Amino acid sequence: MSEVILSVKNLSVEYRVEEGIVKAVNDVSFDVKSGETLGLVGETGAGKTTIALSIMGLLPVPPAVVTQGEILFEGENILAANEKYLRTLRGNKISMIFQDPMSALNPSTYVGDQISEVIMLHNKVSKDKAREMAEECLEMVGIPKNRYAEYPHKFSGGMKQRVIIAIALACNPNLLIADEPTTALDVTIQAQILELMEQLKEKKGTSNILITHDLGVIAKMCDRVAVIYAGEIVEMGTLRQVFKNTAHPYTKGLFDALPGNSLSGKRLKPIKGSMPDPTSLPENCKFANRCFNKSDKCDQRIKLVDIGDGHLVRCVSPLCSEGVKSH
Amino acid sequence: MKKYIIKRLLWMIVVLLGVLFIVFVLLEFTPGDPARQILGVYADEEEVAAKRLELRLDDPFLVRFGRYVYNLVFRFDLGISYRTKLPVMQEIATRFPITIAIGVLGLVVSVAIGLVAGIISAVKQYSWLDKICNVFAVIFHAMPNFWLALELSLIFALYLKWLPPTGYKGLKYLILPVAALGLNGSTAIFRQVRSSMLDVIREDYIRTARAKGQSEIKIILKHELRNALMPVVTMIGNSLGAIIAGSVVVESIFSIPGLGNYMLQAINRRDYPVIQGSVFVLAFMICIFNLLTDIVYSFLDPQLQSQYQSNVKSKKRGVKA
Ligand SMILES: Nc1ncnc2c1ncn2[C@@H]1O[C@H](COP(=O)(O)OP(=O)(O)OP(=O)(O)O)[C@@H](O)[C@H]1O
Ligand SMILES: [Mg+2]
Repeated sequence: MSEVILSVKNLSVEYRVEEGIVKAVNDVSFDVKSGETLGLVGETGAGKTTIALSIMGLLPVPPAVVTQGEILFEGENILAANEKYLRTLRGNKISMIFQDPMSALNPSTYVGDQISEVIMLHNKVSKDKAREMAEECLEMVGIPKNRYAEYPHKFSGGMKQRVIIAIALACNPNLLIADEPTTALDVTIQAQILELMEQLKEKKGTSNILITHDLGVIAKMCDRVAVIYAGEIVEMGTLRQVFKNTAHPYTKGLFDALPGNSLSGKRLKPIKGSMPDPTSLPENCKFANRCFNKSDKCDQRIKLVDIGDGHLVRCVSPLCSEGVKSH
Repeated sequence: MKKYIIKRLLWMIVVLLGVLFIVFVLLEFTPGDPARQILGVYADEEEVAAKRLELRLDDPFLVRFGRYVYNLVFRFDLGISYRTKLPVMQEIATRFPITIAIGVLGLVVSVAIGLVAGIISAVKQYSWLDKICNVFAVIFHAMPNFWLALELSLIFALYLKWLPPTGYKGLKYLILPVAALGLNGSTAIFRQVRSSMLDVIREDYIRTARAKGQSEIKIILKHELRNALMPVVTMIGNSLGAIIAGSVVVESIFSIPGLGNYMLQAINRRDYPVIQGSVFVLAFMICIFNLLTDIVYSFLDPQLQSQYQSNVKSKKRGVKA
């Protein structure tokens, strides 16, 4: 098996705000292996971005507080590392593409210079060399290099997102975290960007964490998937395990809510209710109040269990187990 | 950009003519005969009439106005002071540098204080540093500049005797006036810097810069300040008028022989050519400063800059079509 490059262990993060304590991430553990793409899927407010920011060491403090856990990258615990060390990682070994491309570029700096900036931070190169390398990055994401000296407002949303990808990949990171890289873009651009990420992953062997609430994107891009609900992983496994042998009622709910399934004449089946208030999460199954498969057994603290071949589910009555898959 | 500047310069001529015209009208309606003013109460009617003729005061209003403008434009001549009998242009030329020095130094001080305090306040929002800066900003903002000037003079000149209280015999004499102007002007700049820095700090591209591994100092200088500066520059442009008005007040408090003081004296003595000349020069200064801030602004803001370019382009296209 290929080696693990990132290991998140029992991570819990809270936001302490006036309204109370928002438990955004609760005891989350996962590994990312070298060269693989892990998908994090979940509805809005599930805590996906918070997990990503924890890995970057960029949680907004205050209000964010890490209450437990560690994040190991190359054997170092990121959560305990000093800022100076983290700066050598960010943009260099770990990069992140943020959720909204429209506002992620500095409006008063040439797009090209925004790429050279990260190159010069992590490589001992001259300004001219950095510019040359930045131009290569632009070409790599399909933007002609003569647009180096232009300001972001002249770029469309899709082009801005390409620039952001170029920034993220400029230093050949070992790990790329893409937080909803395509949600803000229209469908055709979305496909192009995903295509691009796929190619770059193949060319450079980067490991990816891809955050999205779009199961279609997960299916296209990911090797493994973790489904997040109310700050917890409720189901995790290979793409095949999660998609073909869906075991958690929430994951099933996500599939049933897909518009694609209604093409056959069936109506959309949105999951009823909404996620519990993250300031007062229940101790028992957090999905119970919305679950179609609820029983008395759900009224307890539920553990994440392996139902076979590393397919993890946080449910007392999983809809299926690996053992029965081939029948 | 060049076109824009030329357009602005043409507009400036219109504005200055307007200012001159208004001053002329105001002086026309002020009671009192300048000829009588010059000759004193003991001169007889004939002498006064002769003086009026000499100064051509009996010509119609528009003729006098036209002559004034003609002389200004083609001879660079602002007339002769009634009191000192010296050309106004020459008198202004000796005083102008002092006023410019006070105004520019006052501006530099207020920008320096406002920027540094504003950045610290924003970056360390809610800290005790932030609170102290805010308290001082309120105090200096609430104090009118003449009062601030008097207090400074009281403390540093009368009690501590560190600095001379009045007059002008070198740069040392400018410290108190500049401090009074600068402290007063810095408060508005401080608040603008603080609030626009606070806006920028929350922007997504600041997080992008952090995600690149950039250091906090560089993030402040390279990413935050430049974007926060745009509203600050506009505000500085707008407050130039206030600073120049303030320098008039401050000059008279510290008895500094600058343009402002000169103008105040001329108003008291009905020295019309001096009043007209000084107002004209002050208005000219303000216009130039405003133009400069607009140009600086367009360099800071690429969007604005490209607007000029695209305006020009679309006009060119329009011509071809
Ligand atoms: N800076 C913050 N201060 C307070 N609460 C926050 C902050 N950031 C996030 N939260 C809360 O933490 C929870 C998790 O948010 P997070 O942004 O991680 O969700 P997400 O899964 O990325 O959602 P989305 O799909 O909308 O991006 C939410 O309840 C959110 O309101
Ligand atoms: Mg998010």
